[in-house]
Amino acid sequence: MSIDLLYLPEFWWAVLRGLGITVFLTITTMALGLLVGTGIALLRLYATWPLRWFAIVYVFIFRGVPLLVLLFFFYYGAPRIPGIQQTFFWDLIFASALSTAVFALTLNNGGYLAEIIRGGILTVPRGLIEAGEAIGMTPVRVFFRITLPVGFRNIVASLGNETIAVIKASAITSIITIRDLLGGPVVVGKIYLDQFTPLLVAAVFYFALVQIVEFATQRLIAGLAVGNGDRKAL
Amino acid sequence: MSLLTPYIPFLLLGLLTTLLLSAVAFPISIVLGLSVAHARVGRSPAMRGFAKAFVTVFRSLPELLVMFLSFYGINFLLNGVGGALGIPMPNATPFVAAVIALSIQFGAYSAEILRDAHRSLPVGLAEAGRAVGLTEAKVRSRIVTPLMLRASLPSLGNLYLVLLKISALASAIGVDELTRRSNLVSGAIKDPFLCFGVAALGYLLLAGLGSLIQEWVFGRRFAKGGPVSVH
Repeated sequence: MSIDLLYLPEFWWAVLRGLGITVFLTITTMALGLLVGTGIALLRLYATWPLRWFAIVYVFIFRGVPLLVLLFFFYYGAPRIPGIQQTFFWDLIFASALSTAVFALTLNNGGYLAEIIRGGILTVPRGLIEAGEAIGMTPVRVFFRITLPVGFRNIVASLGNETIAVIKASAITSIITIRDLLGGPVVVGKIYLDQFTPLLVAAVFYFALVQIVEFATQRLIAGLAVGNGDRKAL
Repeated sequence: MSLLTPYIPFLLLGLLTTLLLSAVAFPISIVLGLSVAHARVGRSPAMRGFAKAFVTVFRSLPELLVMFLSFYGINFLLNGVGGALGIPMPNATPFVAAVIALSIQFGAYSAEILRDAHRSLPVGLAEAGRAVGLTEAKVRSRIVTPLMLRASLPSLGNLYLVLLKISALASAIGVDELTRRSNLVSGAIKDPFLCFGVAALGYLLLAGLGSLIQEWVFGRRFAKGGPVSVH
């Protein structure tokens, strides 16, 4: 066990790059996951049976399968599909480990977000939606102007929790060679025969990252409480 | 499919190891969670602070990181102690390291669930216990703890399903469970889609069975657990 690693610029460079990759994975996955999750939630709530069942099965599968299995499935499996390397999907998703990681994380996260968003939409009071319909808004406009914004405010806390869950889950991508905040420092540690120090350093950074997201979520909740008659929160 | 057939018993044993791992780690994490939850609502400020720090730290760290920390950390400690005493110490097996990692982390998660349950308990019950002359320890062990456990049963059931999935990470430190065995078979028969597809089915089967048991055991009245937040 040497303290040398902490004086090594190469090590801190790996930590910083890893931090960048973890943040990138988290933001990309949350953005894409919100798109997928909203789509699945809408199918589950408003579509007729074939699409509705697709949404139910999607959520069951991608919430039930461990992320690691999902990552292995696409990382090792996709290159073996005959002919895939000539298609668009190959260049877009499966050509690099990073995009494969984003893909698998998004599928997984989309399942969780779908349930959160569905819950949020269900909490929107019926009267608000009827009011929109009564003044002649189209159903699409009611959704974008009323259901979505009101529902969103109800799920800010859950979205914060989900962001934290993604930060933590993204560490698993280090198993498929991604040099994120866990993988980057660990690789440098292996070279210098010190496997323990990188873990402790990564732990400190993960802790800080999660606390920042937690704090931001609290601020956002306080800020969005405007109009609920809860001005004290500001 | 025919290529996979000879490996099915091998994979089933992996599934059993997954079950065993979760079955060992989960009760330990509940006991740990109960202790931490009690410390967190107790009278001693030092214990309260310690319990809060424990929960905050372990809810912030990625499960994979804790798995590695446990694996390398335990061996580091064992070697250090063994070196100081001049006796060779055995290395911890991956299984033990995985159980320790999962127990500590899910201990923190369950502590949070149990504390929420504690908040929802009527004060009158504990007061009634004190009124009939029970000691503080007896009030906690005979009244508060059983009620806390009962109120958090649905959430703890969901937590167990999370633990089942997270236990796949034990394969990263070499525990011979379902994911690792699927990986091995996938290397042998060169069909990752099939092998990880079967692994995925195994996990879905366990998750489905778990949800069904939850429904049967706790019935509709308890079924309103809601999702578990695991950070």
